Amino acid sequence: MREGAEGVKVRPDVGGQHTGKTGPYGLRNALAGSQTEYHSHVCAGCSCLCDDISLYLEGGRIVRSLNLCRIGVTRLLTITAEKRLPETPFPSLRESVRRALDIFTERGPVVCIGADSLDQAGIVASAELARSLRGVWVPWAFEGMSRFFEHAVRCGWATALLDEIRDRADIVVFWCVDPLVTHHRHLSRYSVFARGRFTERGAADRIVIGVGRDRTPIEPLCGYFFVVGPEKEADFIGAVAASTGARDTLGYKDLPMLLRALDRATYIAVFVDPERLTDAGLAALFEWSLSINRRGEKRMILFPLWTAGANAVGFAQASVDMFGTAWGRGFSEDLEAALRKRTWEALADQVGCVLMIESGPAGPTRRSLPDCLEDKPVVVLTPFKEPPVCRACVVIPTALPGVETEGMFFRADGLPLHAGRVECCTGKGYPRSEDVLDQMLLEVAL
Amino acid sequence: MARRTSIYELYEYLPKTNCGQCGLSCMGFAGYLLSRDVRPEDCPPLCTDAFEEARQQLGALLGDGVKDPLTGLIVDADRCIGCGICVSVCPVHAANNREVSLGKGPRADDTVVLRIVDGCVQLSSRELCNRAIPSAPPCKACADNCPTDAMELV
Repeated sequence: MREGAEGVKVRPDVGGQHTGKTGPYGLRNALAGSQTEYHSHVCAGCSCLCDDISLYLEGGRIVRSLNLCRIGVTRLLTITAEKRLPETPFPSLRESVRRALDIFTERGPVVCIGADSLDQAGIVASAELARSLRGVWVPWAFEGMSRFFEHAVRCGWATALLDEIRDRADIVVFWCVDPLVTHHRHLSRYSVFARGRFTERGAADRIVIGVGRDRTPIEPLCGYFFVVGPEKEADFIGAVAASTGARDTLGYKDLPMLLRALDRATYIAVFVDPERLTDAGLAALFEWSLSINRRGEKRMILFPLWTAGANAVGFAQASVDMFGTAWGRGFSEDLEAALRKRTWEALADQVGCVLMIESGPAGPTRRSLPDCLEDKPVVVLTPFKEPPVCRACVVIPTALPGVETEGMFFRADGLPLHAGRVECCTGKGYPRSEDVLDQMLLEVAL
Repeated sequence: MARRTSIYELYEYLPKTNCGQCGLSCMGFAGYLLSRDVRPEDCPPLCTDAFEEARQQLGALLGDGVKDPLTGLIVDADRCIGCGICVSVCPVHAANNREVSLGKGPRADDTVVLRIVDGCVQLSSRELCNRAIPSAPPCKACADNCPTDAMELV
């Protein structure tokens, strides 16, 4: 085996059997001929950012992957698709950028949504563009993110690396979030089945608890599962938090057993989707976490699991660094005032057009525009093969970050990981999102 | 989490005449269906038009998965989401993966029974599976913990 560029192994002749079968990439899985391998590749399909992916390329095309879940495979299928994107009426990048800027100028202000799907360089470029256009810049999860971080500032926020949770958590709670839907490998890599330092038997050393609006796929894996409606949410959390004094089971027969389990636990990890919780419920969770951690006898981690945008944490980091708040920024007084109302409707009243960055291929990570923005002209930047779900005026195809371009992403716990580029020939010269945004910025400046 | 298709569920769709054309009684045939040693098409009366709906129901219950003869594992690729839970609970993986305590999946050169290949679980070194060792207690860790019922052990 000889060394290619940057430690990539090139296997001149693997031999092996020609199975004649084709995998999901539409190419045979045979290990014949010259093959390039990538190991420890980082997948940017969701915020798990799995860094144990192996990719095998043949003739410049991906023919096989190891340790990649369905979300990651679907994402990679994008770059092997024969027809990457639908035809647009503006075939050249320059024309597309001009048309987009015409829309921003005539129908502004613009709301830039979805930069949390990009790498850090793309996130910063999108922020600069939104600032120069005096628009508003928000992530897909802006409603939940603003509520979560405002509570975090008010109460303090106990968090931890996923590695610590893997090593130590003896109770894991999934609150209105189901990683089997949105983060397939979360359970096996980090939260439940991974064999940690002090939880060497993995799931056998933990109790898994689920709380949701309805029964979800994770229910069979849970020791206890509670269906809690939004109107009962704050009361339920209050009953759980006041464990020693609780007498009213609120109609949940498993509640006393849950309280006993929480009483015995030393490390409680609560994964939550802030977009789905009520404000009162989120506040109650923070208060509960604060009360547990203040006592000092055990540790309770509150961990947001954002379900759109693999780099939501990277967005929050960049937003804090640039503007002091984690959920984006409005670049005029009216837009900032609308942003503080923390609803899409309030933003929609103030903006005239949308710059949307596609969140993912068809599947659990793909988001649609909120209904209140559907009637506005939309410019879409997307690396995915499916057409956007909205009526887009301009569609600009871009390179797939973390595969066709390299970039820095932040894992769900804030750990930075570099997703390298895979030398595949199916890129067809699609520009990086960052370059498209920079070109727009340049045109605006001119 | 293993799929719970029972012999009685399968028996319900059989002719229940014990005609013996397959060499078995209907209950015996249901047992061999469950273990995937026969297919519904191996029952001549079931191949007639009168039992077309029953044949379709049996096909839906049994799925298209092919049984691995050494381990008895059947994987439904349509249900598998590549979550890797089966890999992480496999005792062979725990013993042989150098990075098991980091939660990582097996490397290409690790000797493990199960791998996630192209988003779906596949058998790798099947001869290492406890179920392939006649004297070992039968292990069902992978199928028991599969959250999507994509794995069945027969």
